[in-house]
Amino acid sequence: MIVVLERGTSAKELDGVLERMRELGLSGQALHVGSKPMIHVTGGSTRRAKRLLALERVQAIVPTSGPRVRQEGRRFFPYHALQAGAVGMVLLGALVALAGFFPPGVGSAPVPGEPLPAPEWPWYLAPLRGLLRLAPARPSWIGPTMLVLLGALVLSLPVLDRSRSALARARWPVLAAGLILLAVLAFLGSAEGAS
Amino acid sequence: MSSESGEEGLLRAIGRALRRPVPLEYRGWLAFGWTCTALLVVLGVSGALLSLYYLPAVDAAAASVRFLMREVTWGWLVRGIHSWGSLLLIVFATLQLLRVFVAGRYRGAKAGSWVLGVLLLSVVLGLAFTGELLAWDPDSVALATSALEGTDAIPIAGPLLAGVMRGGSEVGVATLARAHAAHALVLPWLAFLLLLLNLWFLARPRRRDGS
Repeated sequence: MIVVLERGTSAKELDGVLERMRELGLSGQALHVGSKPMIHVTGGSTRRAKRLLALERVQAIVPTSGPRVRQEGRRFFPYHALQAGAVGMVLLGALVALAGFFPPGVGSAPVPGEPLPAPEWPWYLAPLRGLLRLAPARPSWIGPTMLVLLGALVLSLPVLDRSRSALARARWPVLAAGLILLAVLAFLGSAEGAS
Repeated sequence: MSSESGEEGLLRAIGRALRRPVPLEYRGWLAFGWTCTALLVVLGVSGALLSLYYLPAVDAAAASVRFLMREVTWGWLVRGIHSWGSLLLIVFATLQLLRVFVAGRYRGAKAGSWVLGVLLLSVVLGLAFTGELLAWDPDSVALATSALEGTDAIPIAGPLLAGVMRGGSEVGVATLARAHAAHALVLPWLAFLLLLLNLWFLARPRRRDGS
């Protein structure tokens, strides 16, 4: 397996990782083939090597053999196509069952001159409708602008989150903000649905 | 000769795509991308069947839906599948985006895929919403009126956008025609294009570090 270290890892930090490997009973040698320093682990168990991930400078452990590599090498067809086909059949069955037990309603044509009922927003737009209601009624552009800004915020997430690791502990502010936003939208949606 | 080599090239490309190994992160029951793709296919087929009977006219739309539900053989089932399929698509597309968010797979080289995913969810919401309007009963007319008032209030682009969607000074025949065009022509192709782009993004060769 290959231990990939962060870009910019110093020689001293590399020695520190090699020292930790020796403590864990792993053997290997440093490689300098790209922009990131790497260590080719030539002896020791994968289970022990995974403990290296706790080190700050270790970015990833890439297996070069073993069941995972064999599994990753499986082709889309027929292996995954079969699984995808099974998912498709389950999905179609679920759709037929839902359509059979809960068929969609049939409305009547609107009569000209008759007042329209209060609009009933579909559940998937209820959170956004709830957000609109939070905004002051005057000036009327504040609410829709909030929605546009929310969309822009979600779209620009990769630009806003510059964390170097995908680990949750490295991204906790973004994760927390996202989950709070989600909870608020869910609450607004359920409140809108109940009203 | 040239068409033969073109065919061979296409077959080779399809063969290569089928033999491609699937990365671990795009597999398993929690990989909702495939579910969304399958649902889009189901919606495309059922939508094409529904369009055989649907009449996009203010005085005939509700009646054509009623005819489809009560008189056409299996019409109720096809409409049910279409209706539930669109709701499930919203659920799975949202779950897929959440999964990508929690796993942090929107960073670096995958940023494009995140943007495409968000745009695809927006298009799916647009498809579902325009689908609600097509029934053209009092509820959907009220919904269209309220939504266009909201769009009108967006600064700068809002009035133009609302005007394009409304197709006149008030909600009416042009609004239904435009909702139908958006639902049956514009948005499905847009979703298809975004899906293809997303698949290309995910399937293109990447280095081990994900870049």
